[in-house]
Amino acid sequence: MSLAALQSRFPGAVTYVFGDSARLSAHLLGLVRSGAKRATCLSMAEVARGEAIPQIGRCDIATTFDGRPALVNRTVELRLVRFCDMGAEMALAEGEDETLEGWRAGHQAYYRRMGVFDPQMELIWERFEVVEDFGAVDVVG
Amino acid sequence: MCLMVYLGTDAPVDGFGEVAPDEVGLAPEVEHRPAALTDKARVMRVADRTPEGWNCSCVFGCSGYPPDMVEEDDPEALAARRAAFAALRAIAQAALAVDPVALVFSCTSGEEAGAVRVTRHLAVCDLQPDTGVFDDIEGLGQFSEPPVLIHLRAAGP
Repeated sequence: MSLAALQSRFPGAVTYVFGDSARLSAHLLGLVRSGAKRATCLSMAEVARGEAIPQIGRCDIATTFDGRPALVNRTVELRLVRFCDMGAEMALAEGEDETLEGWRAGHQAYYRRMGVFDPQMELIWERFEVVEDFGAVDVVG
Repeated sequence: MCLMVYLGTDAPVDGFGEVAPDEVGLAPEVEHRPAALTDKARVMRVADRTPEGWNCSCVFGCSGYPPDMVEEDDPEALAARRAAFAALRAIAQAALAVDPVALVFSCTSGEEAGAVRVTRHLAVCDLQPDTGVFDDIEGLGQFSEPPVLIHLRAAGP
């Protein structure tokens, strides 16, 4: 199904990509598909660069790293939280780590790669539910 | 229904009171302080200057309207929002220079006595247009301005 067709089925939907590389993106999509990942977060620096702010109740389209529709996710909860204040329950809902310390290390590295890391940086933490899975097979060499 | 933005500091922030019409500056100290800023020695409105005097703070992007009433792509309005936020960043930077725990409070006009609903921690560089700075990000819609208290910090990434 094309992005345009999906956007007409889900009015207001925006597209986004998990992660900052094809490998990480495929890994994170896999975690969502397995049910391990039901949350994600977005920095204000990313919002300032044009990433759309999620909105409760809105369905958005997660694509593969090369732009193919992969999932439709509906936002069910939003919290503003500083990186340094992130709690274990919210961190582990992202499904990427087994401990809060692991979440901190992984996300610090991620935001450092983006050049925006600050321990006091505010994050928009989002819990979502999967509405539709297009079953794309993400093969990354 | 207007957006109102206030700056609370423990020392004077000078240099932003004499701005040209259509620019954002600091209006004279307010008589009735918002409840969230009662602990601050100085409370001033961050407002839009007009030829007739100080206006509200809707230039930051008053979103208390239904989406179909907002001309999102109006280039003049976008330029005004960009200029307003640039002025806000300059004011915030100057405020932090005199008070490291400077605060910004925003609400809809008439709700200054209300309790803070959203507490935020933003670097000066995070004060950008169209990023929901004064909006209800955690709530059910982004088209409202709840009482928001922003703890400013100078450091960006």
